[in-house]
Amino acid sequence: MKHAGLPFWLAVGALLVVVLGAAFAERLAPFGPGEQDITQRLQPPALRGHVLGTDELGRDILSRLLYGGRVSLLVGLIAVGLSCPVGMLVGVTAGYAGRRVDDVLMRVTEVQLAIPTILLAIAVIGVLGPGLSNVILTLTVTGWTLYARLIRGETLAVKERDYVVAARAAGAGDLRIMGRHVIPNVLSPVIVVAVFAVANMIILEATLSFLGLGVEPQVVTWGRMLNAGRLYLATAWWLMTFPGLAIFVTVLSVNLIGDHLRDWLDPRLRRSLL
Amino acid sequence: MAFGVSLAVFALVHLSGDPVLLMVPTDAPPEVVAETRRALGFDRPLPEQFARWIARAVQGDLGVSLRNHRPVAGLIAERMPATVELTVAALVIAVLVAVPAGIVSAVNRGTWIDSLTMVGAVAGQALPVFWLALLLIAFFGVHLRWLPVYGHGTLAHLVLPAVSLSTIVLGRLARLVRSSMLEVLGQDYVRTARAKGLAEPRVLAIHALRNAAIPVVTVLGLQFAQLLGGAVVTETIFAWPGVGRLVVEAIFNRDFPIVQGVVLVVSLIFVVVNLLVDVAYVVIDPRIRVARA
Repeated sequence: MKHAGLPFWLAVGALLVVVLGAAFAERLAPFGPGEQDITQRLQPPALRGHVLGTDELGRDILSRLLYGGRVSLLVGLIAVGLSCPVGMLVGVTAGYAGRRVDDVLMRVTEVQLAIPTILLAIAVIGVLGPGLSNVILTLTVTGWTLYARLIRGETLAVKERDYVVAARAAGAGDLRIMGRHVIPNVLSPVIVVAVFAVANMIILEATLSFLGLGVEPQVVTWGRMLNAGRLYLATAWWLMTFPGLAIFVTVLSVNLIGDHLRDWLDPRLRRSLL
Repeated sequence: MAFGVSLAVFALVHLSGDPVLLMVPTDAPPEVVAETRRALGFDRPLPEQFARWIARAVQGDLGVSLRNHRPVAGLIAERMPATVELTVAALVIAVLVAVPAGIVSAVNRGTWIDSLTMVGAVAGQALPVFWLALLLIAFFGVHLRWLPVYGHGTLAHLVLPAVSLSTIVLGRLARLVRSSMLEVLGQDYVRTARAKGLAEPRVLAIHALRNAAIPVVTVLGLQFAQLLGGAVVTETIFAWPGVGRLVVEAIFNRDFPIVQGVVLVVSLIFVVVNLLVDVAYVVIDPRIRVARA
């Protein structure tokens, strides 16, 4: 295992701050996420009171960032948590069953690969309508093909190995072979891909919120804060700077941790994921 | 492939509920609703609607906008040049920055130049394109007043949107060029080229880069879809009159024939680009030409 350098530990630290901040938002936030104070609107960052300033309705930016982190992290994690098993199931089935099933399933993933992720996501959300569960559903729909293709390739390779052949000779059924022999052997690339996927999902969720197609209007998210901040970018820089910085730092940290995990778990992936 | 995309798009749009109700006034009597439905063919069974849609689509007829009743194909054709201009400009910027950066990084492997370039590349990959766009607008447009921040027309209008969009592929591309170059630089033919006394720039440009280009071109082809997708966001921010903005407006208007048409056309472009990538292999690598002949 490569020695973990400074960037890795910085990333772990930064991510920890974001996660804890989101988890304990009630305790940590100096103000409520929707608490308005019109007399304090568009205040610049200050050492006392509103550390990161206030927005156009006098709401505290820091507090909103902490609460907004919840949506970003949860949506990212849940979307990956749903799309990963779905993709794995499809991938293993395609790789293991072969022929017809493989053809059909892989055509489906190819079709989806030809549609840009953001375009697909806004089309799906446009049809479903905005809202938290629809955002998660949309991200899941756009995300599963990644795992399906990866797992199928790995399954094809593992299927012919001696230990799988031996297991079959010993009388193991298809389900047992898939569950006990194939999936454990393809798990490490999946973990690496899933970590990068969390970062991508966070960006995608922020993009949808930014376009006004995200979660319910009363829920605070980083993407929506950025969208509101764009109207004030000439006069109140802090409105759009901090939410963007929060997304950037979170995504960068997750990516750096993913880089490290990849080198550690599966150096072969270096090339294919860069 | 194209058939699969059309089927997916068609299915998606028809999950969205009754398009006829979106077209008539909310207080329209039921007879008017039924009449509109019949006139537009929405009363036919879904497989028949799909067959009709496909039959028309192959003839270039993608239906009409539910809002202003203009042909979708015409609307897309009108907006497409701006999107192509933007994505190609972004691609050119990405290649012009990432390829030299990747080569310099690989040649100076392990030095501070390498580290700095790769930190930049990793950071670039994490940068949300819409945030970068806002930062660029705030700095170059509002603060320095060097460049226009919205609209389309002159070369100056193109700079900020194209730079924002290029970051979608820039970081990944630079890292790929670096790793691909590192692999090639260790090969025997590079050693041979050096041993026979060729100048280093020639070794890099002719012997190394050409061989390193294959995986890079492959990834560029696949990434083109992400560029087209990113254009949706960039065009919205910069009020760029392309298909990306067209589709976002259509989503808000629930104008699904436009959404259907744009997704179909964009996917076809992606497929064509990747066919061109296959052709590019032959140009880059004569071995492939030999193998096919």
